[in-house]
Amino acid sequence: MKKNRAILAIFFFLLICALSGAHKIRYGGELRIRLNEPDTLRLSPTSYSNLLFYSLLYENFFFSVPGKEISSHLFKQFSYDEKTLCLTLVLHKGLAFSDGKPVLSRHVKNSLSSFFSRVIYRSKKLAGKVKNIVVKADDILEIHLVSTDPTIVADLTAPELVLIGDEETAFSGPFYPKGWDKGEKIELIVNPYYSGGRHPIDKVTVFFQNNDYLDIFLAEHDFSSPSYTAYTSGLYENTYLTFPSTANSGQNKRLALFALCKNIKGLSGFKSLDVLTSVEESPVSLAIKPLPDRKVVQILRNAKQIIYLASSLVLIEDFLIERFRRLAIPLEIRRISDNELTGYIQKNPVPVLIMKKLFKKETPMAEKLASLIREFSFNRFDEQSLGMIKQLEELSSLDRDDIVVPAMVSIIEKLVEDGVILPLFQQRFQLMVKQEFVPVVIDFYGRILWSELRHEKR
Amino acid sequence: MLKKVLVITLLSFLTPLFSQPSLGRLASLTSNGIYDLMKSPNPVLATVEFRNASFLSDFEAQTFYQLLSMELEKQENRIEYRDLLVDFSGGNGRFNFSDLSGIRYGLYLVLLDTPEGIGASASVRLLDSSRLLGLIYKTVPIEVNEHWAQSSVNSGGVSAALILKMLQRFRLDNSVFYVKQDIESSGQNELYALSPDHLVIWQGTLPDQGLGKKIPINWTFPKTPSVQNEGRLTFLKVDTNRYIAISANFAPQSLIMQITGLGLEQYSAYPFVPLLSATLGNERYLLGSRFVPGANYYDGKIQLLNITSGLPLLSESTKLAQRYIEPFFDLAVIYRDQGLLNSFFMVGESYRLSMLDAEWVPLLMPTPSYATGANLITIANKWFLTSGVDELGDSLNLYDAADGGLRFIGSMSLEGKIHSISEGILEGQAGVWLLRFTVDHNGAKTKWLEFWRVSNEEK
Repeated sequence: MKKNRAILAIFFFLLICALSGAHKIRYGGELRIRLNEPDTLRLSPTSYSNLLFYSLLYENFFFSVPGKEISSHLFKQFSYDEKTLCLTLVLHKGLAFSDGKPVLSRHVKNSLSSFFSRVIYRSKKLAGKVKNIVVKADDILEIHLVSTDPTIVADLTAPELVLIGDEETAFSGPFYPKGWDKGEKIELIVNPYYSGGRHPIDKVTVFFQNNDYLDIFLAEHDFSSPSYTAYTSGLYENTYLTFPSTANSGQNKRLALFALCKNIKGLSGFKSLDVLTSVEESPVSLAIKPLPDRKVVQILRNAKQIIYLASSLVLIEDFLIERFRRLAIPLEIRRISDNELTGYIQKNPVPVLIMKKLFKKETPMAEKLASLIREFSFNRFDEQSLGMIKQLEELSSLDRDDIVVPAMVSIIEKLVEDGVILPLFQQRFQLMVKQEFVPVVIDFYGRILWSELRHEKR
Repeated sequence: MLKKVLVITLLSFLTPLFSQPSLGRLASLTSNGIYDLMKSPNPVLATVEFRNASFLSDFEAQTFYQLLSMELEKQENRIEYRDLLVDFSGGNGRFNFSDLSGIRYGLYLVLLDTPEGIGASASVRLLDSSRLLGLIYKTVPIEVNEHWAQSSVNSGGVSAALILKMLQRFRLDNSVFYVKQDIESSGQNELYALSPDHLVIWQGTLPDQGLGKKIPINWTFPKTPSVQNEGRLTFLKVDTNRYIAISANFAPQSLIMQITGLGLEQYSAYPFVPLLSATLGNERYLLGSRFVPGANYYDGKIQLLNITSGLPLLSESTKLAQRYIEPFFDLAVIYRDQGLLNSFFMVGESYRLSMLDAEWVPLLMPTPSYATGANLITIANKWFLTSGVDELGDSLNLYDAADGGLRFIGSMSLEGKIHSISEGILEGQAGVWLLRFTVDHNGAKTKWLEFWRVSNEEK
């Protein structure tokens, strides 16, 4: 009770600070963040680090913060009409991208289309609900639905659904890039046209290496430091071995590669994963016994192994090379941008791929499995996959463990048997924020809301 | 020298002699004492040290210094006096010692408290050897009617509470972020409330007496949205025409509307926020500055637009004269006769309150950082009011600025947070319209518009 009162008192103190008065919000200063280096400035939110990075540059359509109503900086009205099955979005007047060009409803439409083209469960789920999108005026857009769905706005809070401009130099987020020293840092400066209101911090530097002067960084879940406050992200990131271009053939080779990758040593923060999602929630542990190294060498030594590695996993590249070198197995690693992964796989044979997927802990297990099927079946996405997804969606509405658990177990076994996906590692994060930055608001998707962050030190 | 003339001019505003008799008498007594000491064939004298160890404020101490300098300069047949003071703050004077050639004697001044009033200790030394020529010590009592000094001693808020009184209070829409009264509107109450996309005007009524007239505002593109809206409404009378400038920190340009019998008509758009008009030399100027886009303060570049022959229509290529001071939250002025500028008051982005003369030369900084809030205003060319922050929340700090100086009277705590302050008149009494908000225990915000009378004459 006392704790609740204290939290309430702190909340009101922060609220009053945020509202300001005779003393106003302080502008200026710099924020120094440590994240992983992205491949590109074009949206590619495939990891937690990227999710945080791109939310500095691109504005989400809507925000969802636990315990609060859904909100938007872009739309002054968003109303759903159950009779016409139409969601109408009205843009605030006078909005512009970072290059000063106007934000129009056609940009909203194009951004939605771009989101629909991503092979991610959330986008496919939303795309399945939308019949068509109509630009009614420069500031008005109508989204017509296939069937009634009063909660449609919640689907528009997806972190990957952001406002994108015509030009690559047009950014909708609180900051825009000024300079990029590859391998070292990106400098971002405040976007004066940001729809959420000019950010009080003038400059953000995103470092790609650790240094002594960081305000915010990602740490393993058990890290602590006296001058930082830890915020649980509510997310975890799994690394999988997948075989996009081969069906369930070459079982021995797949198992050998699995054993080889699974036994990589020395990876900091990567824990071995023996379930498809997380240990706490999975109804079944995958009893895949890795082959001994002697057997692995026998299977793989005769040909050069080509492994495609999603660029968000660049951290494991050196460890992988070292593991192959020790076993004297020839290896070629081909890095592939997370952003271009889907398109590349559709056009080129990719026999072996290591990639990662981000999960939110609270998402129902059935939805997580559905998203794995949707995103990891690649060119083999077929009637059977669709059937499994539909089955999972039906299961997610049931509150009957006696039905749900066996059904999920059979789906997981099917996925592994078919050679779609083999789990390797799991990473869990917490966000470390220097105590002088408040308030730290974490959204439903585990991201810090940059627009809320203030530098309280005078 | 120019600076001193300006300061003396400033001090002599409204009254032929400075209106603090005790300080004037002390300066005169001290000057006579120094005169008696100076019986040298080469009597070139300059003050080289000046400390204030009395209860007087920095400004009051500086006033004493200026009066003493004036007295010493009058005695030109016996003393050749040089004024080297460049700044006085924190109780200490700062002098320009770059050229001491020709100066033989140094004057060392200290102001002190005495049981009945104040005292001045003055010693004269040879500059090259520090040999003491003589020392004088003069005191004067503070007269009972010298309220300024009493309030300086007892600034517990009693005086402020007598002068500041809330006459009316209205609840306004939370979106309102600035309110201004058109004082020159033929004696009627004409109250304008600025919201992000409209103006509400109450003509001849008050917000509790009926609905105001709502006028949509079409800002130019692109907006620079802000976390907290700040704005300004400035009324201008040029020749027989009347205008209103509507400005906001999220708007790229200020909209200039002509006030006609039919309402408001779009006249022009200016790339700065018009803050005030003033006569500089023989020309009349509109002075303004730009908000840092989306932020809550001005960029510190004062734009000067000549409006002697009417309010011009500006194009993008129009070049304006500029004067850089420093980034600031708010600016107010005291005028002399016929719109001539007397002095500026400014609260900088670091909450430092500054006073500048008509040439933009900083005169003094009466408060340390953070002692004041972000808003300030002059009322009836006499009072000076700033927002402030105390241990309870926001407050109002009241000063007497009638003589062009600044004497702190006291402060008053307020519930809630002050958003903006503007000058007004209600029921024939001068005062301010205070826009502030309160937050209840559920976090719900309420915006209040209050009229506070600022006067020491009870009606």
